[in-house]
Amino acid sequence: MDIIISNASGEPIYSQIVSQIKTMILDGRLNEGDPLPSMRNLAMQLRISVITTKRAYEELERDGFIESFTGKGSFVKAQNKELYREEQLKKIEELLTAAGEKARHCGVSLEELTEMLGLVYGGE
Amino acid sequence: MSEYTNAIEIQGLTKKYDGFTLDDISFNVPKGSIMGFVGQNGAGKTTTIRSILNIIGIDEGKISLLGMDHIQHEEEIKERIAVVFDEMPFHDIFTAKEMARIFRGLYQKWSDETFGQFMERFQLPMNKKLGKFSKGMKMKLQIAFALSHDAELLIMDEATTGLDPVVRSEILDIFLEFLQDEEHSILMSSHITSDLEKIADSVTFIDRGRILISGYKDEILESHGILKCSKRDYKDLEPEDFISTRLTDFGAEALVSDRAAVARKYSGAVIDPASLDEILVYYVNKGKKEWS
Amino acid sequence: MRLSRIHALFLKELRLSKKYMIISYLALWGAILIGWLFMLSCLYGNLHRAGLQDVKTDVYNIFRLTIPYAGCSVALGGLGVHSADVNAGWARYSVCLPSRPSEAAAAKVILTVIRIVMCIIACTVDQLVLGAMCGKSFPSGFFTSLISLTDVVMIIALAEAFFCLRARTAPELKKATAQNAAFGFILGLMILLAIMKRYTSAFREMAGDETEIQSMSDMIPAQLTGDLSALLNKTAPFALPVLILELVLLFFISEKQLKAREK
Repeated sequence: MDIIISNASGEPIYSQIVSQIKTMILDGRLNEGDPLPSMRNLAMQLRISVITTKRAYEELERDGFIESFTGKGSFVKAQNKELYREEQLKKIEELLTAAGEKARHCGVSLEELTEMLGLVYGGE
Repeated sequence: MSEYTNAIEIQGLTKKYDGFTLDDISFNVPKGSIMGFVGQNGAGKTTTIRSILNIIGIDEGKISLLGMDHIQHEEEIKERIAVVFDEMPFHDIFTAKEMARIFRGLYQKWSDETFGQFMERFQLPMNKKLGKFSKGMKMKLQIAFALSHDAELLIMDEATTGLDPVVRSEILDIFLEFLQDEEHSILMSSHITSDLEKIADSVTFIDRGRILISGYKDEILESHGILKCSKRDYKDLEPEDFISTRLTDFGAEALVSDRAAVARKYSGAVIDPASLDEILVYYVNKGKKEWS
Repeated sequence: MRLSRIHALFLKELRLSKKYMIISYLALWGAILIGWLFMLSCLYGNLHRAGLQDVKTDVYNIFRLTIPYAGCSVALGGLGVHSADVNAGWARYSVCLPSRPSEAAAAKVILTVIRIVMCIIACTVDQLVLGAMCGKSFPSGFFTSLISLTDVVMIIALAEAFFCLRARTAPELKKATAQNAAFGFILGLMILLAIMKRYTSAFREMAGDETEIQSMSDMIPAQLTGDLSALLNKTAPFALPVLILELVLLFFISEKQLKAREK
């Protein structure tokens, strides 16, 4: 399992861990029932505070991606990929609606908006 | 294993000297965590640690280690804690083997096997007089002794000061290993914040005998920031929004303790993340308010 | 009090004092051997041929007095263990150890007892040999006199424990050592003045006396030696109890001072 943390990016470390683990679960690199390293072990390997890893695991558990059992550790939870995708699509739709409104409001055309989206998406 | 939440609890610690006072020091080190105790030289770190260890008597306050009063249960506490000083406190003429023999008699849970493993890992000689050890070797030796009697709490006073980066890195790894057991805790005092910036769970800043700030490192780093603006714009800022400001020839840099709120209030302002070093310096200058 | 801790701390005391103890004990035996050589010289060698009247008695008396005194100084003089502890930083660090001050005090007292025993052995052997050479019988009251002398010299050890064991840092130790030295000096001065006062008339009488000095014994007024013998006889039964009392006192003083916290 690879987790790469950047101290220089503005994003908080716990958030980087969360998104990387989420990605691994969604694209199948981590499967249901796979064990995650213990919070302390991960903290030691990455040389960060155990509070950070704890926070990351708590958020992952809140979002339904992992389950933690005292004494045993944390494991990947079965994912309802369809449901998750639908939720994400809904969020994207909301963001696009907001972007569209703003564009109309200050006179940005649909072509310009589409071009911008293309650039931003491509830059991923 | 006794139940306790905080490995160290300090409430209202006060110690008066001529010309220096530890004034109402309070902070806790939760079990299973590592706390970085940061401050300049002479800020009171060593005095605080000596008070905790009952090396010096205190005027007021309550201190408990591992859930027990630090004086009433001194003997039991000292079986279960380990202390590392900045200078190796052993006689030059002793060898590691001789010291180990002494420690074996002093600590109930002493393990020659564990000690031998550490000595090998650190590549330290058993039969050489300690006076001949280098500074880095002396520190590693202290740590070998400290970790060979199943201690739950490690207290270190400027242990990494004066060591080269390679040795420091090795030692920090040892501390992280120590913390893999949830029952273990560390209090580490230092004026080198770069070590603590990475691995500390919580930090406490002390300056001139007073606690400036104490809390989870992540929270402190996330909530603080340095607002940078021109000197003209700086005049429009409200004083309660920032801790202190550094004025340069080219502008003003103010430390804020609630980055989100300040960003909302002064939208468009440039607020950079602050390092522990910077946070300490700005807090130390809190009284002056403006400095350069 | 845990035995393993006392043993561990005793090992530490022993290791730190080993060098000095060996040197001083060898010096003591050196002095003893010199005494024997002098005696042999009296009996068979040059001093015999010199024909001085009753010189062997003088040699016997000189060494009979000085060897026990040297022995006691060796047994009870400062070993510098505590100052080594302070300079190494151990004095402060040992507060962080689970050992109690009583255990450290016990270790120190045990070492003191061993040193006293070593001194008694050396002095006894010396007395036996010297006496045999001279044809003098083993003096009754030898042991009690020796122990009485030990009782007096023990004051040095008690003073050192009282003044110096409290110090944990070098500056504190410097101050304590100065106080200890001052105390010793004043005490010694007082004793000397008391002796001189009591015996001035005897000394003055001797100075006026025209008779030739023919031996060592002639140099000390008879009154002084007489009083001393009488004193030793009187205190003989108390010698050992006082020693035990002093050792107990040494333990409690050491414990109290080791227990004290730094300012």
